[in-house]
Amino acid sequence: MKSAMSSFSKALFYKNLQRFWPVLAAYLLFVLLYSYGLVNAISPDTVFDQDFFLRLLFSGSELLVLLVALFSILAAAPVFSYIHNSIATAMMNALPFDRKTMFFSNYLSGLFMVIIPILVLFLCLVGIGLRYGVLEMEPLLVWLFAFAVLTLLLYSLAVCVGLITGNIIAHLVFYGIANFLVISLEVLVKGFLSLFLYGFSFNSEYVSEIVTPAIYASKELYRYANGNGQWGVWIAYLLTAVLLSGLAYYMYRQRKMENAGDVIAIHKLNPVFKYGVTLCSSLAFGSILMDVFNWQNFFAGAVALFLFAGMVGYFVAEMLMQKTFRVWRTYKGFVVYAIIFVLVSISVYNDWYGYASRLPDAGQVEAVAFSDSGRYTFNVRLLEADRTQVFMDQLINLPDSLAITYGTPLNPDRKSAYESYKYPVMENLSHEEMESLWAITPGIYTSDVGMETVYSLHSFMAGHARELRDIYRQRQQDRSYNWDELRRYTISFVYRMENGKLQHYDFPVFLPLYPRDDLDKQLLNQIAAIVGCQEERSKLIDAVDWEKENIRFLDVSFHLPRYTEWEKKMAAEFAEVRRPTMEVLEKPLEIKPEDRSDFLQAVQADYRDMSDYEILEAELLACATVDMMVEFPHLPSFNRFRERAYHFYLSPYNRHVFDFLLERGYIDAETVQLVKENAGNR
Amino acid sequence: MIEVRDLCKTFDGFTALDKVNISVPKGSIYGIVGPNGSGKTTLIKHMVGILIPDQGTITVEGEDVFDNPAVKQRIAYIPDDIYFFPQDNLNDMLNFYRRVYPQFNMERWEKIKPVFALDEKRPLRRFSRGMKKHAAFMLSLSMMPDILVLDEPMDGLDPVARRKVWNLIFQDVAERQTTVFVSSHNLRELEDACDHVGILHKGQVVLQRALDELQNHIFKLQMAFHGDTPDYSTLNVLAENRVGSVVQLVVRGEREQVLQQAAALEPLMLDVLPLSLEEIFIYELGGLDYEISNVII
Repeated sequence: MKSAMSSFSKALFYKNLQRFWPVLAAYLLFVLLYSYGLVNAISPDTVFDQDFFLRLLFSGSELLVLLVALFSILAAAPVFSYIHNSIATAMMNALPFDRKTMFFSNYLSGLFMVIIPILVLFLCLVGIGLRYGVLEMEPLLVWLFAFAVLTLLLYSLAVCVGLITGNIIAHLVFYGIANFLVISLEVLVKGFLSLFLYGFSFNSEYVSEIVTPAIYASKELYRYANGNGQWGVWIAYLLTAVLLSGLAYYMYRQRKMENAGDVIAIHKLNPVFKYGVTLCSSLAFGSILMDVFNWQNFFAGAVALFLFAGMVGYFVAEMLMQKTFRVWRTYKGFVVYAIIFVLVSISVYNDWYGYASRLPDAGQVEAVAFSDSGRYTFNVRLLEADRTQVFMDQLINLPDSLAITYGTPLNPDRKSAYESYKYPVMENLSHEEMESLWAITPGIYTSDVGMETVYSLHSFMAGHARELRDIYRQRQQDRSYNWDELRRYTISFVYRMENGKLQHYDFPVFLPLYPRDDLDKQLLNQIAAIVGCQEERSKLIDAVDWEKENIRFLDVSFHLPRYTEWEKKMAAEFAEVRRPTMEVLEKPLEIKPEDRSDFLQAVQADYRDMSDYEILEAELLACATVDMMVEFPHLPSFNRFRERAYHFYLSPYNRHVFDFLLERGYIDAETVQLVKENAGNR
Repeated sequence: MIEVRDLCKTFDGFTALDKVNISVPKGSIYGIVGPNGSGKTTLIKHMVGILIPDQGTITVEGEDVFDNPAVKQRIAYIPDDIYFFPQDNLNDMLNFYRRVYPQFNMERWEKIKPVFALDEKRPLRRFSRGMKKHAAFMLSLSMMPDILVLDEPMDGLDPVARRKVWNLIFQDVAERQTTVFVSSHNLRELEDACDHVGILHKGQVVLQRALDELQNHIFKLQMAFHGDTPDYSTLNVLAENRVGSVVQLVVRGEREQVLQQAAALEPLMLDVLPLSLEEIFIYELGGLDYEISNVII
């Protein structure tokens, strides 16, 4: 039986190190600079605790992942470069080694060049940990395991890709593509679907991030230090790395060395390459062309642009494979592609799959974020705050428990840098903490009534999906409409299911300001019922329910009319008459301290008294912005949430507010008139 | 020693080798000749284990060559285009070959070194094509190979260097019974060096014999007749030329039998002229759609 060493040649190993040592040296240099950077970034007020050490380990993950990805190809490409050159491959394969020995000797010499720097960095981190007395072996070993697996995975990928091609340039390009292929395809396909498939949301969750290790590692690695990571993913990465190296070995054994120089060295993969390039070119280059021509709303034109872009990709792929420009005779393959592409586009455009009619299982919905106009995009992050970072600074009525936990610096005795707070560096919120955020956030519905109202609208839209889609497209293209009387809403539903997954749906609609059709009326009423439901009103009221002593400032900025030059000229006479009023509007109106409580009570009264439809319209007819700063004196002075800023809009429907401003002499009736006329002209 | 059996190879539908059968006896110098694109280099790349055959086998003393380090250890290969690691000088390559070939003989290296007198510290990439060939011969002969496979070995070498190289090869064959397989377009050179010759045409071996035997199987007959030339269709004629009553025929067959058949035609004069390897090559391939035509442009 052959020993393992019989499949390894020291001569080849040393030769590779002798030839390609600059790769190893450069990587080591970067690693040492990285270590120096870590030490150099330690500020005098740093608290040397476990949190510091975890930050030290994982805060630079993005850069380190980039280095691993870069040096994986920089090591794999040279050690296997001979297979891309027919003269070199002849010399190397005539040497007295079997292919197994050739492969493993080269593979291991490349791997050596990328794994040694990781081990050196590991030792540097041990040294830093010992120097500052914060060495924690468990997270450090987690770090080592993760980066060793990532190195093995990306290096094996680089080798594998190199064996598919017979060209060194293609090796480098294919490696870059292979790293981001799945996620890029997902983005492109989502772009295509959101363009043509009514109800599809481009913002839906990225399922392919996990199969893009470079992105996944740079974003998620820090979780593993606290034991919050999905270990299954890293075990899967390890197995994939082993599988890729096995596949690379198999391809090397079977490789036809005469194909050195070909873009695709395994000729059986030519159709995969050709149609892959065609599809990617279709979707990527096609989308760019569509933006250039602005044909998003012109289905036939958009499909033609996608096909044109695909045709370019198809013939470029043929040219690369055949190494000639004379490839036009191969057009038949493209004709087949074009027919399939057109059929798929038509099926998506007409939703043969009934996508827009589908609804999530109501019994499994934990919370739902609703938006009628693209606002509250921040809420999607709140729906998954147990696994992603949220910025609590934007939440005026943040519960005290969260403010204290995450707003207290780690070292209260010193003036701490932002990074010295516990959140959001290493942790995500617990489920209970997340629910407490949902309870204060407008646009998120968790009560039975609120969720039922939202679900009812979605059911209505799903039931009328085809009609809504046809009306939307017809109104989109019909130029006879008076656009002042037609409003575009992007009605989006994001469901948080009990298993933690999110389901996104986006339905764009055009609705008349004064609807006459039953469908329009029903839709508008249901949307208004959601935004004006009790749950939503309570949250809006709670956000402005503060004692005047705690309000540091409260300003109202009116939205000035925005005229074009021509309109300015035409309105000169008007402006002359209104000049005094305009001058009043140009400065923010500062509400006096003694009036602040009354002002906010007027706002609350408006939220209570406005009709559902007025609340819906209020967002579109904003005419002033209210900026305020609230202090929470019961929180310690060093708590970063002790003072919080908040802003909201006023609309002509804020009758109580305008009455208050008139009554207290902040503005006169003429100004109110001008402001209301200018509503919606932000 | 080397047996190639039913070797087939196609490249994207193009048949490069079609059921090639070749036997190379131990200690012989086997020359493979053929037109450009006939498959000589492809055959050689199979013989040294670079390419995977589509069909057929290549064995050395019964053992497969492909993926067999034990056999490849015994083979030294000098390709037409020589590759050395770009950064290396001769000493670097020497060290590499010493690690790779345990039987590498330094004593021999020291003896060969003065023959070519190359600068050992100069990067090999700066060597001329001929100098690279010198270096390749120095390394290959010092490996103490049992088999030398040479693809157009003398291309780029000056006449003196050619002589030096052939002398070294002959010495190796004589002293160590080294088997040499060589491809070349220089038939004059092969004629002097080879004892066996094979002709490859469109991926097929059209002829394979010991050189002596080959030269005894094809002749040029020069005959003169009185009056009309008799019917000589009994002879296996590859080419003919008439000048007045004198007929020159290139004929294939057993010498004695051919002479008997020619004498039966009762010529006034009958001469048998020897054919050079180059002429044999031209006449043999002339019958296979590869003839010389007088091209005027």
